[in-house]
Amino acid sequence: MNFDAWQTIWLCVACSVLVLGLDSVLAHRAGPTKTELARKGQRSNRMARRVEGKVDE
Amino acid sequence: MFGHLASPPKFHALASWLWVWLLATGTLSLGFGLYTGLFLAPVDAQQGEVYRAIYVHVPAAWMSMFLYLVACGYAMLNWVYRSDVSAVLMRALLPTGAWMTVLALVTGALWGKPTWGTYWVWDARMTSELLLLFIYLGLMALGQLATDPAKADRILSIGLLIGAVNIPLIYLSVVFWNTLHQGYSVSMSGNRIHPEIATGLWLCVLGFWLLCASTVLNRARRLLVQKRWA
Repeated sequence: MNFDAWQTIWLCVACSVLVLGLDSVLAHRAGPTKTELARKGQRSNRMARRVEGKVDE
Repeated sequence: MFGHLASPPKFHALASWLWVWLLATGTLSLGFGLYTGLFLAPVDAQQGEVYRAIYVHVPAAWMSMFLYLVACGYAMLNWVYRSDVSAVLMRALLPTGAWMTVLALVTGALWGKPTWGTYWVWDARMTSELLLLFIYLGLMALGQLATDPAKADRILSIGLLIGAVNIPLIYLSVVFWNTLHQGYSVSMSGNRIHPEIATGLWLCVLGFWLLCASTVLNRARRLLVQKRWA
């Protein structure tokens, strides 16, 4: 497949935007933030309390 | 001066707002650089319009090598101080470096077809850049091998420092061997690019640098939370 000059340039630019964007999205999924971690902790505490309540009943 | 940044809470607090600013300024710089390069810079006398691929190919190729050297710096810091911040930064740099290497290879191949008549040749510059991609991928796999995190960081540090041999090889390949790839346009001794073409290139280089720094900081702060507080 042969591309003309401007097709080649736009393909290069599109690849760059794609790669920079994809890397940024993947970095966002590398791990939790402190806020996400705190929310997760609160959720598991709530679940634990609910389970304890059912056991007491 | 920067010693306090080795403290995980201080680094986390800084990285949590800095990455957003780097993302915004990087996007602006890259957008302005691409506009300058694609629409304002003059046409090249030899290559015509297609030379404009330099505005993404050159920054990607430079970043692929630069990020590796920065990772080596953190590998040495990790080896000496064994700090969590240097360990996560060393790990956070690898995926971005690998993506930049992929981008340099792909855009180089796309540019090669209209100028050289082929997407790929086993030229010294291109082969050593492909080797860099395999080194990045190997190191990312190596970092996952050991179950003890401290041991894995130390193995990764050694691997990074050994792989650094390839960086001067890439840089000097156009001097050591007769390559299809062109020689230096920008070096310590001077710049052979016309200022009207170079302005857009420097803006794109700055844009790539800021965007890569933003991604690395964002990844590092998340890896740090997982390592320290999860």
